[in-house]
Amino acid sequence: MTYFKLVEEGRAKNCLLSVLLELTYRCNLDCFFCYNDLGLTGKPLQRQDYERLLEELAELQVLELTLSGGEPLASPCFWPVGRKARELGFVLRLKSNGHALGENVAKRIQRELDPYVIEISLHGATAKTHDRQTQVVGSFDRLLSNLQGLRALGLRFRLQTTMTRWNEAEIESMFELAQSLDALLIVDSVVTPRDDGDRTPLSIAPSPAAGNRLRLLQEAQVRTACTLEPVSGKTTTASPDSYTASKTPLFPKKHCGTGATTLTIDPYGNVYPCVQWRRPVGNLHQQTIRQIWFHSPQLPEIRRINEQAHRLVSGMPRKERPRTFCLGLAEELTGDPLALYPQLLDPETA
Amino acid sequence: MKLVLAKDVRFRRILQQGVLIRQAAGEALGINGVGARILQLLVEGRSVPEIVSLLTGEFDVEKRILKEDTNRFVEELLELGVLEPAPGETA
Repeated sequence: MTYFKLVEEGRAKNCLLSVLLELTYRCNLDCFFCYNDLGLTGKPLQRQDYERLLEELAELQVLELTLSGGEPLASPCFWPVGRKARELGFVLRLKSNGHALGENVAKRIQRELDPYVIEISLHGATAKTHDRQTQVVGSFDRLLSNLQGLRALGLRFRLQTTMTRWNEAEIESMFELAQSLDALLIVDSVVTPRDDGDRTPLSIAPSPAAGNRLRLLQEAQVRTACTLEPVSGKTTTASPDSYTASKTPLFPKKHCGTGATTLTIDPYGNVYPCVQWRRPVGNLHQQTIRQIWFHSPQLPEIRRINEQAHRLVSGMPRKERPRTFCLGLAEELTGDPLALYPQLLDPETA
Repeated sequence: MKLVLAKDVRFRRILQQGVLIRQAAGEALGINGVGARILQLLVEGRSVPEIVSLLTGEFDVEKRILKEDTNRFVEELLELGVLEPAPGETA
């Protein structure tokens, strides 16, 4: 079985494969459209909470662990959690704005954490645009310098951007910039409300025309890019296979991994089906992750909706099928996780 | 000889099968259930003879065939760079 088949089967059978930890909402930048709910309060998870959590996740055979924020490096738990993740054999991803990834920090990350990849936010192809979005003067120049340092060290990184009205004119240049750094650029064309419901970020949502340009660029990139994702899906040909007899029972397919292969945990221990769908399914101060995954009263409903979404989207005529459909965003924008929200419509008709 | 996962390799047993991630190559390998069980035992520090003894009780297979298959599988993983001798061991 290939890796992707396994992920697909995991999704159908509710096998937890990937967990994202928002270690803190503190950040050294001040991005205009940041989605974090900065007003959220609670009892922050401590180092020992994370250590217990990671041990349990490793027992559950969770493969991927992502450290995010805010800026994860701003959390006092970043280094101990990262080291523990390495010790327990997770495929570790870091999501960072890159501002603190100077030479010494980058070397320490490489030496102590050995992440699979660092996903770094890029907000423009010029200092003017990037710094406008981060609201920190000098952040673009510093990021470029840090990216060159990461490259020199051989640390794997990729760039991520959210396309906005402010940076949409620079998207082509951003791809060129990424290419000059031998990095993949992933562009999200949907600006989302903040997790507290504040829709201020939508004021800089990209134009429909920019969405079309992006689609063409992405199609070109798919044809040429070498991604950092595990893509080979190769299967070893070990002979013990000859005495396995596996039958794969049929399970209902799901639209995405939310609540089926993924969970997101905020700094206060609240557990969500994914980073976008902020419908709590438990809290680590009250329950273990195992209890939440197997016994949360909310997760069966999440999974049922996820299956419905698969039927909804796959049942559409191919031409009308949205390129992306996010249950969490649908619920945030419309109150209904299965509603087709305006940002889904083809940019030409939006 | 004790074997360990190479430094850039991550391994999990998922749905009775195995997934290996070779970070440096950006590559995922899927392995079948028996292979995953063998690899799990190797990672736990078991030697090949120990694994063969254990698995003989778990699978309906001749010990000789199991030994050959296990050795071939381990050789394949060594060739792929997934496994390496534990510190202090020689290949």
